[in-house]
Amino acid sequence: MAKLRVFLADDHAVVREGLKALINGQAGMEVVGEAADGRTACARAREMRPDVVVMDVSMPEMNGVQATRQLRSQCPDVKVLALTVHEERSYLRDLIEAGAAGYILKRSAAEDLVHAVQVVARGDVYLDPSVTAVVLGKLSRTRPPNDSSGLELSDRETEVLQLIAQGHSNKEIAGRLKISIKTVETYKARSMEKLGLTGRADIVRFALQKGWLKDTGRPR
Amino acid sequence: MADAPEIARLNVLIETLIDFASVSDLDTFVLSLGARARFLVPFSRCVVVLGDCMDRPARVAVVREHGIPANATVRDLSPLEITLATRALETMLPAVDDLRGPRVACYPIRSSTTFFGALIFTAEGTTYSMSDLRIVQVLTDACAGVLRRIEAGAASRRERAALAAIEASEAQRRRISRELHDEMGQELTALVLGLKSAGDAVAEASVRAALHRLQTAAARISRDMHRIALELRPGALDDQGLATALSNYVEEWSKRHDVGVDFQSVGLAERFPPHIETTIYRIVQEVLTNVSKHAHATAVSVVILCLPEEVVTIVEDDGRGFDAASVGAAAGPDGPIGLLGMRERAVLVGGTCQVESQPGGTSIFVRIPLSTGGGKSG
Repeated sequence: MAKLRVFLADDHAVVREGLKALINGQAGMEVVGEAADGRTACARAREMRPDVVVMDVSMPEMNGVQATRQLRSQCPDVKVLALTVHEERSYLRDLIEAGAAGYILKRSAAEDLVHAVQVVARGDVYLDPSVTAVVLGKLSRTRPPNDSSGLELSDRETEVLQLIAQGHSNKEIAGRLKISIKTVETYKARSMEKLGLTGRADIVRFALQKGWLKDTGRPR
Repeated sequence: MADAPEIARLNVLIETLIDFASVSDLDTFVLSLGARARFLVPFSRCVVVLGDCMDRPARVAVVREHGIPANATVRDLSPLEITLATRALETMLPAVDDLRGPRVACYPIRSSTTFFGALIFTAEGTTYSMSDLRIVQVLTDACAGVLRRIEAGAASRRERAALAAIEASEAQRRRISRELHDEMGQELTALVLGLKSAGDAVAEASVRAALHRLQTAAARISRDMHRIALELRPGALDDQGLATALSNYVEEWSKRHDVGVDFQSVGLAERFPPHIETTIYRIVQEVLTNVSKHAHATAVSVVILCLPEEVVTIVEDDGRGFDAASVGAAAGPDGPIGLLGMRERAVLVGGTCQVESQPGGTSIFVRIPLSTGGGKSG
């Protein structure tokens, strides 16, 4: 069986050396070329048509996101496995949109890179487990609020909840509605319980869905 | 009809007021006052007493006939001067020794809100006339105007200096964070990869195990370093904006402290001025540090609302709460001392910070104006 042909793009020579040693140490794959910036990576990969490009995200000239986008549009059959120190979800989104088939953290590379290259090469998606946890954690939180519990908010509860969502403190709400702070707390607790809301961020989300926060954002 | 000497005196008064208009520091003020005073009111001794205020101690200057003020202390005041100054301070009204007709006159230098100090004139062998005292009144009012301006100037200089210090510190954090990421981070990655390759290449089990332990240790250092770099200043705060940087940070914090954090921002599509983004980011960081140390919370909400005029940042936890009123005074090494720093940060960009706390939770509201003049972006 032919060896998997891997191309390395990373602006740090020491990292490239490490990756190369790791990949060339495997029976089923070999490094066929490397580049230290995104532009060169695109150009060389276009000529060499490797199976997988291991692409560092932060590189000079053209960063990994841009390089991925360009390479994928020119050679859709070349798979890109993004390699990054960034654990944050925001970078992941950019990369997936650019067409990367996988995302692996540099700190996981020693253990998981070989496997990730194999997964991406056969056409599947590889997400670093620690990043996957973040994505799933976010998904599990974006459930629709429990608005169909059958429990209706009273007018006062609605009013208090709206003011909370608009960023007012209990003291301010108490002053505005001419009720005690304790009463505000009671309304807040009761309406949260009725709607199954878990905290202020949840209240704000609920308010967004209800269209209570229309006048937010800066006038341009 | 005013006579010639009186007209000459009014001219001096006008010149003094013109002089005062360009005075911007305390030394010049005292000098200018000393130089003019003897042409305005006859005296053998004129004392300028200035109370202490934010960044300078109390100050006493004595002017004699030659007109050059000499620095003095409260101890150099005569008992009568002290009595009159005390009375003036208490009543905020002129205090005149009129036992045998006014011989000593003490006028408070004050604005409607602030007491700056007093001028005390002592006459030799004469008493002060009504027109003398009117002149002193006009003079002390002018003094109040100058002092108010000097203090406002000092306050804005202090704020500018504080903002510059914060900016310098952020720049340094940015540099160190990048260096950790770009230099050490890459070296560590290479080290981990090298140890892995070396381990794969040897057959002997004990060497393999040793190399694997080293690889694990290096990976741990790499992870810690990533966290430190993030704590110092995340690249996302510069590259991707506040909402993304905060969202990343709270996720990291939540994992590290095993406390659920729910983050929601509204209307944060566009970027704020960098100093406002940094302020909000640091305040949230500070609040979360407090929560992890003191609150014993199980859930935290972080909300950023961008309203037309202001951005509201709210951090709410379900912890044990604290007495918000006593925190400022009692902040010891274990107290939530960060509250003070947080408030100062908010104030520097024209914002406010409000705390609501009771057993069962604490909410912190930080409001920062977005319109012109609110953030002192320069």
